[in-house]
Amino acid sequence: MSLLKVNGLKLRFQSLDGPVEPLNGINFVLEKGEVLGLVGETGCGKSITAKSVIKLISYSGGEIVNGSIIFENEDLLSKSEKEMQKIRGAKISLISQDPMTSLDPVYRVGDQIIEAIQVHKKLHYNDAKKEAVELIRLMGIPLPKKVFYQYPHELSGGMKQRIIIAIALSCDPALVIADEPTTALDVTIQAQIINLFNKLIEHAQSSFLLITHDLGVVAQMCDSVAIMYAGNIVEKGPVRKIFHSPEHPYTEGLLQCIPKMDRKQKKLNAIPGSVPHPRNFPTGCRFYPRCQYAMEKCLSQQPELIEIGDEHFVACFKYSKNSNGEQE
Amino acid sequence: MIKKEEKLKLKEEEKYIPRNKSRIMFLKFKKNKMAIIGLIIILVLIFTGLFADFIAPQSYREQNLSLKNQSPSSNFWFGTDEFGRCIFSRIVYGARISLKVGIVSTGISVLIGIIIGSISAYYGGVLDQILVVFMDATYAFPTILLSLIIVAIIGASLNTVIIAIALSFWVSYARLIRGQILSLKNELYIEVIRSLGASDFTILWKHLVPNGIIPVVVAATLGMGSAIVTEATLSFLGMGAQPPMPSWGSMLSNGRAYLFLAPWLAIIPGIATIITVLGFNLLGDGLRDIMDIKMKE
Repeated sequence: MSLLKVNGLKLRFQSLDGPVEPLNGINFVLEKGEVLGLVGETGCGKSITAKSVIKLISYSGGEIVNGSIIFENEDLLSKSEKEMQKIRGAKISLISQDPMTSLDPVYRVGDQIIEAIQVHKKLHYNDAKKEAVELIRLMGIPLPKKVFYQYPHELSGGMKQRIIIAIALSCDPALVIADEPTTALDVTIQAQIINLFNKLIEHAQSSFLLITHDLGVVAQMCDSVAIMYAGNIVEKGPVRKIFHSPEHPYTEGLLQCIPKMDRKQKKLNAIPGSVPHPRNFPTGCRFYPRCQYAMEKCLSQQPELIEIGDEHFVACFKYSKNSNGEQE
Repeated sequence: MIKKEEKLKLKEEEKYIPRNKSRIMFLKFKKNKMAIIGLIIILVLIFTGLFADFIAPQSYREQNLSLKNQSPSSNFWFGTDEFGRCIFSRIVYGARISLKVGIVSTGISVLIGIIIGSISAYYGGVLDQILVVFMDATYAFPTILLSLIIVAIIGASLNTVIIAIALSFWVSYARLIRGQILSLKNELYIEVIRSLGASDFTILWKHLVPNGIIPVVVAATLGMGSAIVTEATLSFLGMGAQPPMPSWGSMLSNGRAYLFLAPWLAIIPGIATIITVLGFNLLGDGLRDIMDIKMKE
């Protein structure tokens, strides 16, 4: 049984120029213990997808207008705010993008971990403290007892991110959503955090939804990956398949953008153009203005996700079969 | 070898003194001379007010008409007033009244201000609009006029003055905390705390208010000075503490009639008020620098 099933998710944001719908019916499934990467350029709707899953999108001014989010066989969209508060942190937790501003500056980090524990577990302060120190130690932080008493501004970015991960994992959630957990860190710290994640993934029972624009991170951490473009999932499948044989023109382009160590390249490939604004998404396939394989059909119709191989889905007319069962 | 290193590490951990905010603030406070002067003035005043019965050489209400309007002397340090009462004793007892007014009325108005201001900012929407209109309407009245109206409605007494001052000063604190929370509620850490399953109550009172309260604390310290001045003004106008209560304001008001005959009657309560307000202002300014925990030590 899958842990999380998102079906036809559509959001609406009210703006001065009228409503904007940045998501076009997102579908994905996350199995128990799976690590799913959600990859895409800035502005393609990754973060709002994550926020929708724990229903925090209304605090950013958005509104879920369509779809369903089934978590542990229950539709989260039918839950009240009070019921959601019991799920947030305990069953689903969120690791946010920017470690620098994710901790409350007036409390010691230890007390913030304790707060996260005490929201859901009825624990005495001293017991919670023991658990918190143990969590800090687990994050690979030297001198955990000292760090427990420090204020956020006394810690470096990498340390803060570890504390945030500790807070997110404090109640052993079934699902951890990590929204670009390494973006704000420099490369050496990134590597450490990724190692930490890999260790945690190995030991924890949790499933991870990893949101990133960094394909390198995906390759190191994920079991499967979903590529997003302009509010659509355009390709999804196991990591190996996607990396070895990308089928969607956008995925192909993305992978070509990565410099390769074993090949001499004079110039790095780039996808021409940029991601359209949600207000003026093109009709039909949203990628066709930048697509080198664009066909006439792409102008008017939206391609659906179709299975082209084992667990490998693509939304592109290149692979859609016409009524005769032949490839077009 | 490795074990030795680990032992050293553990030792270092044990040695670490947990620092808390009050300790950091105390260290910074020690360096701030103006704030210390302000604090000393206020502590002396509090001491005077608490132990007025032991400090004052005479009762504040004992009249002796044969000794009226005496100039300062070794018997009567600050002279005597038109009823022959010892002004020094009255100033000492007056400190009690001024402090009571300053602290109690500011306390009440800060409490009202924080509750209304933060609820208004956090929940927003129609509730916010109604409360803002209400606050602006209250703010439009000059505080003295508003206090006068309230005193006129309830009747003149010291407790009325305290209530009147509280009800006319809360708006500035409410607006201050509202502005703070409006900007803080979009901070990322609030979203993080919400994503942990914290309730609105926890988010507002445990995270937003403590983060936004520093300007209010500073304003409240400065506000105590203005509350004392307002009390003196109301008493000067005869709307405050009633005789024979030794309010500095009413002493100043009575002394006005004898300004040429016995100028100390008016000057001394005036100086006492100025020093008190100065003390609160120095402390308030100092607190502003000290309370920012992120500033370098």
